[in-house]
Amino acid sequence: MILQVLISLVVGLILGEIVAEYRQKNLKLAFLLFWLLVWGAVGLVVWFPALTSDLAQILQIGRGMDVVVYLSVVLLFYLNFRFLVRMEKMRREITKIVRKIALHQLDEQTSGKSD
Amino acid sequence: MFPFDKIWVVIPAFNEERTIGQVIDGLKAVGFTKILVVNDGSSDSTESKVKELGEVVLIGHLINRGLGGALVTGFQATLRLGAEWVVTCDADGQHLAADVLRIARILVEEKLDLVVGSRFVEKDRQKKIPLKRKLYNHLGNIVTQILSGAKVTDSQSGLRGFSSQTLEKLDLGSDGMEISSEIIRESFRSQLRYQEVPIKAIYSPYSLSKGQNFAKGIKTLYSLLLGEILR
Repeated sequence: MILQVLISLVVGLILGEIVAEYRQKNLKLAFLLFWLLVWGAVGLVVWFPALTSDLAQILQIGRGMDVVVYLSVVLLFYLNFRFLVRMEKMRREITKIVRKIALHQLDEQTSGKSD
Repeated sequence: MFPFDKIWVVIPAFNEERTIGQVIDGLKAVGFTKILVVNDGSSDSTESKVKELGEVVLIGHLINRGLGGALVTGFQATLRLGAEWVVTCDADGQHLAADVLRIARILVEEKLDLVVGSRFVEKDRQKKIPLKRKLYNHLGNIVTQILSGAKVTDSQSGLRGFSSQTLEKLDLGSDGMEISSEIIRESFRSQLRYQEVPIKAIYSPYSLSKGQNFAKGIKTLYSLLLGEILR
C-alpha cells in the first residue's frame, strides 16, 4: 500500500510536469497525449495489477509482468532513438555556430581587420 | 585563357601537417591561385604550416566538426569570396594536382553543374586500389543508390567540382563523411548536369589511415540514416 501511494505520488508529479511543459509550449500535443498515456498506464497498473494479466491474455503473452517488461523494452528503445535524433540535431547546431565563427573570421580577413 | 581567378580549391584539413604543404604546392604548380583551407580544429601544426606557405586563405573551426562540416564551411566561404567554380580536394595527398586541374577544366569547359573524380570508372586504374578500400566504396555506392536512386562508381570521392549555382542549390547538413553520399543524393534530386571523370588515387599508409575503415563506415551509415530522418 505504501509503495502504491509513493509510486502514485511520483506519477502525479510527472503528469503535472508534463502538463506544465505543454502549457509552456515546450511539448507538442501528440507528445502530451503519448506521455499521459504512458504514465496514466503506470498509475493504473500500480492500483490494478490484474489489468496486466488481462492485457497478457489479449496479446497472448504468458504472464502479466512479461507484458510490462516487453512494453518497457519497446519504450526504452523508442526513447533511445529520440535521444539519438536530438543529439544529432544538437551536433548540427554546434556545427552551425562553429561555421558562423569561421566565416566571421573570413569577413575580418577580407575587410583587413584581421589581428 | 583558363579562368583560374574564378576557381577556388577548397581543402578541408584535420591534423594534416605532414601533407598539407605538398598538396598546396602541387596545386599552385599546376596554376591554381585561389586556395582555401578549412582547418577543422586540428590539434597539430596544420594551421601554422598553411600560414607559412602564404597566398592561401585559411579559416578555422574552433573544434573538429568532421568532413561535411568543414566542406560546407568552405563552400559558404568561397561563395562569399566570389567563386564561380569550386573544386574540393583531400589534404592527405591522395589526389594528384593534375587530376584536380582536369576536374576544373571539364567543369568549366563543358559547363557542368557537378564533376566527380572517380577512382573506379576505369578498370585498369583499379588494380592498385587496396581491396578493403574497394569494398568500402562498393558498400558506400550501394547505400547511396538505395537512398538516392543514383548509380555512381565512386560515391565516396573527395575530388569534386561544383559550379557556384550548384552550391547554392544543394541543401547539405551532414557533419561527417556521409556528406559524400549526401552530395550525390542532393545532386540527383536537383537533376544536375553531372559527370564522373577517371582519376588516379595515391594510396600511402598515411592516406589509408585517414580514410574510411569499418568503424568509421558504420558511423557514416548511421549518420546517413539519421540524416534522412532529420530531413
